[in-house]
Amino acid sequence: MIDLAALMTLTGDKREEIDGKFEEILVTLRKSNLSPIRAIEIIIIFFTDTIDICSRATVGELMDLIRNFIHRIIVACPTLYVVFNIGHLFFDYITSVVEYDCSLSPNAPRFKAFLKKQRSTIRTEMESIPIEAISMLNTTHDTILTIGYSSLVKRMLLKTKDDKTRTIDVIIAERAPFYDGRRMASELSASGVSVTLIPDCCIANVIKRVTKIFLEPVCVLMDGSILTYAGADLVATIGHTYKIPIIVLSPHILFTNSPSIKVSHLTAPPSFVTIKRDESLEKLTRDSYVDVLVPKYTIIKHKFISTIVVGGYGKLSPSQVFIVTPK
Amino acid sequence: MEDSGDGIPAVVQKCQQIISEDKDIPYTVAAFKALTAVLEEATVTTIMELREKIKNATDQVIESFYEEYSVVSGCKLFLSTLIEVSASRSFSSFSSCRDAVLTAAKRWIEISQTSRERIADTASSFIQTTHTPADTHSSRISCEGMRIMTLGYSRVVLAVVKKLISASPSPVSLTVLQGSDVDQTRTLLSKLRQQSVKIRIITDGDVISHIKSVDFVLCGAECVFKSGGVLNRQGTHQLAFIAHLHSVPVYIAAELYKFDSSFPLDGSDIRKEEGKGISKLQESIGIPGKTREEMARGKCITSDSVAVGCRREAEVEYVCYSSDYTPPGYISLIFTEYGALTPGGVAVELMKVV
Repeated sequence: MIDLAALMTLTGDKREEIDGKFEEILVTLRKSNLSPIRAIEIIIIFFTDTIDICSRATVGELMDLIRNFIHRIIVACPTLYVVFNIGHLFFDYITSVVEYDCSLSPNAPRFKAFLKKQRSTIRTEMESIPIEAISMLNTTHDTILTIGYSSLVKRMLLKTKDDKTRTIDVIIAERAPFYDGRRMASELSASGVSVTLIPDCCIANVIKRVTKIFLEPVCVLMDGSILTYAGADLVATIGHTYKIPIIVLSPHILFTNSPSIKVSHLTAPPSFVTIKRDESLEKLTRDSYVDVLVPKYTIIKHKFISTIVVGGYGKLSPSQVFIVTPK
Repeated sequence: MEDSGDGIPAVVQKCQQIISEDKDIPYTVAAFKALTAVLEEATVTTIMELREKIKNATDQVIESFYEEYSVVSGCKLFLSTLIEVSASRSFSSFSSCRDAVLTAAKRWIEISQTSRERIADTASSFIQTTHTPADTHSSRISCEGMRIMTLGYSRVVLAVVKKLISASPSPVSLTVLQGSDVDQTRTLLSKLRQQSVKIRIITDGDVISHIKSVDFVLCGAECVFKSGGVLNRQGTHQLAFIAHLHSVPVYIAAELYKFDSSFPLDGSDIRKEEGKGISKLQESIGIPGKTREEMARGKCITSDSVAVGCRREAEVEYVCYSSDYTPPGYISLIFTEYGALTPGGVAVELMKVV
């Protein structure tokens, strides 16, 4: 791990600037409602800024610096496995084009172009995945269930709203206590899509009318399981029991080569768990004799998932995830 | 008993008076007491008149409390029992018949008033026998104690939990689902404040993570149907479904007067009421409120003034019922005053009562 004090030789009088930028990035990444795609974009922008600041460094020093930052991001936000992906991609590119001890300055433009290309690839996938997902819908009618807020599912539904040949009923579970499902319902209705919002306790009551379930992961694990937000495992379990297809929408950048994580790993250390208290819970738990346990993440095993729609690869089954997983 | 001038039947007024005097009394027991008062004050001279009198009073109570399933089912059972008593044997005089009917009515009240304690005894003795190892020195289960999961607030469940806390040698921990009605959860927590029980609150979406860490699920019921299914607050069906999936027993604690002779096949056969808290929820979401009738129907037009490019408004329908139906296949046992019943035994017990 590089000593930040040594940055003086790399960045000159801009050591404090890069350190301050990184602290700001960490604060942003720790936000509870930040999606992993947005986190990747922020990290790519930060890497681009780092290249600009470290103009007098060598390529090797830049790689050491970025490796340092990636490790610190993982310590602060343990579920952001995807930051390893962008790190691996970047390092593979660097080592394929230049030597370790080359000067950074003449190579900076192509490094920045590579990072910019990764950003545009992600944005392209965010547009193509909903189109691919629409092909999985019935031509006449479908009833879709999702939980919480999902930008890819929202994009898919917005693309279908003007299609007069089919009707789609949308049911959204609100996902207590974060209630981001309400935000999803509000945004969809503002855009002209009629939705039905249900509390989490009603999922089993409406499941018989549902034809497809759409989910968005935080990351896709090596065995085809997905790490996603808490509450989705309830939807997946109930849907799997009623033999309803569960479709996961994910850009390829969210695929990791991390081994399957046990659910118990999500409950400890405390950095995996955030306790969000909404107003109603706050009133209940003023006394010390009551615990409130609200995990943020959960694992959905591969056996519950029917299809994963991956940007750039199309539809895959969980057993075919190895095709996309970075080596 | 004379009707009041404002159109409220006298028996209903009597019932409301009893409820206002004792906040903890179940509505059904108050209805029994009011109907018994009708019997006592009835100036009738024949058995047919007596039956007509009690039937009319029962119909008035049912019509007034039609939202309370336990009152409806209890009054029907009460009526059918009294009519059965009046027709069961040949009486030497009308007064002896009337005395027999009054005795049966008071017997109903006496049983119903002590229901909770008797159910608590039944459930507690069964659970302690089933869910603690014979070898009390075993460290596999006893060190963790008895772990219960529940949702909502039920006085019967509260009585069972208190009995388990006092009688069980091992510590008791309670996992409570937050549910859609936070007021019920708050009431349950306040009632358990002074008890030595470890309480944990979890959200409905997180039940999968915790279902394997409990020994059994314990819920109350608004109504127990002849099929063995139960009607209880929203979320019970889902909890029972998940518990059944993970082989965790589901126990229902219900008084006998909640037994109903109807046979629903699924939830759609049962009349449902919109969730009582729906208007508050609409406001908290930020959806502009319309008339109270529109809120009660669960529909509200929304327009997000922040959204860019908003072209037209669309509906957001919030669906949240106050109760749901749990089919008998997910229920392990139903604890009543007369012991533990399987869902299939509900029909047999109903035949005995009626």
